[in-house]
Amino acid sequence: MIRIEIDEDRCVGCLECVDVCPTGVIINKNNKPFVENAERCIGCLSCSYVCRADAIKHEGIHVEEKIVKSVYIEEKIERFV
Amino acid sequence: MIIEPVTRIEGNAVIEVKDGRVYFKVLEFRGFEKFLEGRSFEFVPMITARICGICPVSHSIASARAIENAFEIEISERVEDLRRILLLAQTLQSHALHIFFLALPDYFKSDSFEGVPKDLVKLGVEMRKIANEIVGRIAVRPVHPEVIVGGVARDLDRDYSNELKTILNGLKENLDKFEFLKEGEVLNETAYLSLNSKGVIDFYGESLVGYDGEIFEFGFNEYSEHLVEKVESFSFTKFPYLRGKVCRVGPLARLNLTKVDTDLARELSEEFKDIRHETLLYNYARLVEIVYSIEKILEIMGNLRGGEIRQRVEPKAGEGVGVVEAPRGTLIHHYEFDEKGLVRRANLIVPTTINNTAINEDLTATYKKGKENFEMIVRAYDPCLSCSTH
Amino acid sequence: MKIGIVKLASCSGCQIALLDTHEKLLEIADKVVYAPLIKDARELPDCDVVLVEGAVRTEHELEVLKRARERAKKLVAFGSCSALGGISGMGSIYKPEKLIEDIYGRDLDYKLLDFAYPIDRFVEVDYYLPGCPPTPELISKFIDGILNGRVERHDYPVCAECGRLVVHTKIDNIKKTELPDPKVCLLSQGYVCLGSVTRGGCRAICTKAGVPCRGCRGPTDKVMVMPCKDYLTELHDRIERIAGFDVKFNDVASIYAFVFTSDMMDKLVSRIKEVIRKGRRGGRA
Ligand code: SF4
Ligand code: SF4
Ligand code: SF4
Ligand code: SF4
Ligand code: SF4
Repeated sequence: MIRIEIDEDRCVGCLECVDVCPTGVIINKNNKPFVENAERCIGCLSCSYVCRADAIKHEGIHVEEKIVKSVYIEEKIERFV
Repeated sequence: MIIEPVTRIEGNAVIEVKDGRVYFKVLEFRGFEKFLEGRSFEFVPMITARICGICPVSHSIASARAIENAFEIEISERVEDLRRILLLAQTLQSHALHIFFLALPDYFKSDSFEGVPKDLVKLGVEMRKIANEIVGRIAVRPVHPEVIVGGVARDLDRDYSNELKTILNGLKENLDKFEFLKEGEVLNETAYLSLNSKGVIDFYGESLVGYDGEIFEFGFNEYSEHLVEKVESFSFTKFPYLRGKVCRVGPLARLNLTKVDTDLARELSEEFKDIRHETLLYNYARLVEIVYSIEKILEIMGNLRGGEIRQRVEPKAGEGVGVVEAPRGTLIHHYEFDEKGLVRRANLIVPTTINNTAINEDLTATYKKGKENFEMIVRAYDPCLSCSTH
Repeated sequence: MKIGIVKLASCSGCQIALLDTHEKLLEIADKVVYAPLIKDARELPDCDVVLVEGAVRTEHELEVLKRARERAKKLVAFGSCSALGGISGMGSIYKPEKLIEDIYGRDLDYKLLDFAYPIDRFVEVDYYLPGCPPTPELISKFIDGILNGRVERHDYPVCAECGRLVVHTKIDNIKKTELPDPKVCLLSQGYVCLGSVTRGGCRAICTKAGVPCRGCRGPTDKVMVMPCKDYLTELHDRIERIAGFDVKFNDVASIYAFVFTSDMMDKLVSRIKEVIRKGRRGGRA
């Protein structure tokens, strides 16, 4: 089961995650994103991809690995503080 | 003989003695005048701030002023006051850095500020702190500030007068400890250049005043008739001359050419009644200006004038010159814009560039006198080499 | 612990920001063994940490950098100039000969490198501390982290710290110098704010003061990782979505101001290459 958490402090309310989710997991509730149907999530990570505030965290799938990284870049990125 | 790198100054430089002359070689370069071409006007103050980490405020205000002149925009009285406060606060910060951290170690025969009495360093730190806070309040942060074309970033909504008064009192108690700053000898008699408003010192002044044996005034747009730059291949910094004479700008020039209009600073500036040429007196002049900055900020903050702090800016084709007094002297920005508000041509004349000729002459004069305190002479100018080559 | 500070093509702003940590500076002053700005030492000794400020623009600077790498256990790219090219990197838009010719009108005794490179083009870098300059708070935290061996990363964008909220609107032109609404996201008001593509950690000081983020901390992890994410495409996309406005940037270079020569921005969709190509062919970029 995938758990999705939206960090409210970080979220700026652009609702791009709502637009982008192919399965309607995240909905618009009073102009704020709200995780309504987590069980429908297919783990595509589109929402976290578009989120400008890096506010959406998924747990329960090997999500991070889904992002294609080149080894060289990844090693370097880890050194940016 | 080669001194490498010259220390306790901003930037990378080498002093080299060769065939009876001393060369002050500046070894860094970035090319602002060229890559400013094509930039849209709203980014220009943000980019020019990055010319220098010690006096970014002066660069961004000078370029904002030049842009406003080019687009024929009026700024409100409040913005004018806030910009004056910005320039003075930065001067306080920069002079405190120079005196307490860079220059005093020479007088205490030490190689860094750790050899300077702790209470003096403390005073310097306090000055820098409050100055930074004021700049941060109006312009986001001390390095690098954001000055918006036609205005400033944020209004001043806090009163800093108590802190400033405490520092001024602390400085008053210690003034007699600085008598040694009045020592120095004449190395070269030079011309001088400064901004002023009706003969009075003003960092955001309205016209330029020069001295080459006699005093003469001129407007911003005429700067290129009086100030001509030459190029020598050994340095990335150019060599300007005022009406053909070696010229100096900065604290010494300001106090030589203008009257000071705050109480204590006026008293202290008596020293500069006649034109003084001693290079090391730059350090004393800096102390006087520290007092002046604090007093003047208090005065302006006490009765800030009103007006909008930002406005809509419509670009148009044209040319504009903006001049301010930076801590190290007269700073000139000159831009030409196309109708979209993109820079077509940029010319910057920076205080340390103007002083560069004098620094080289002074070093040679020192050498001819058989002395070797080259670095102390260079430091008196508080040169900023990132600025000078830009 | 021995700390050295080396300056290349830069403005010294990062070193001044280090001085602006005030108390922290007095605390670490005795650990700083080499820093021409404040101390008289002329030779860089072997150090535990060397902070390198500035991009590499001349051959002389390249030598200094290589020496710094030899003497440093840990080498830190201090500030955006050294981590990403920074403002110094903008000089790379033009050919070096053209820069010298147009500014000086004659040859000088020194040679420029072809570009103003970030230091990782030539040496291995252990930490990057981007920011123009990094805020004194970031610097303090970083130094503490180095001293006790735990350096904290900031992998989130500026938006996450900003506190402004997006409102969906319809605008018809870009705003530049006006006073913005204090609570609403600057992008949805029509200001070109780079917060969403820029690494956080600065506490969004600029947007909190009503000034759009200029991107001084460089790209976020996400922008670095994704080959198809780029400043311009992202900004264009966002402004279109939340403000219904098809923006045309007439000064592309200023949007990339801090990242010109960084490998991290070497992407197919990026317009940096186009700007440089134009400039080097003699046009106005
Ligand atoms: S995309 Fe991110 S910032 Fe935008 S509404 Fe969703 S969670 Fe909030
Ligand atoms: S990961 Fe994909 S399916 Fe899951 S919530 Fe996000 S956008 Fe929807
Ligand atoms: S990163 Fe910014 S503050 Fe630091 S040296 Fe470069 S231009 Fe100056
Ligand atoms: S785009 Fe800018 S103003 Fe909008 S939320 Fe992000 S940082 Fe804040
Ligand atoms: S808000 Fe943007 S421009 Fe301002 S300090 Fe942070 S990263 Fe730099």
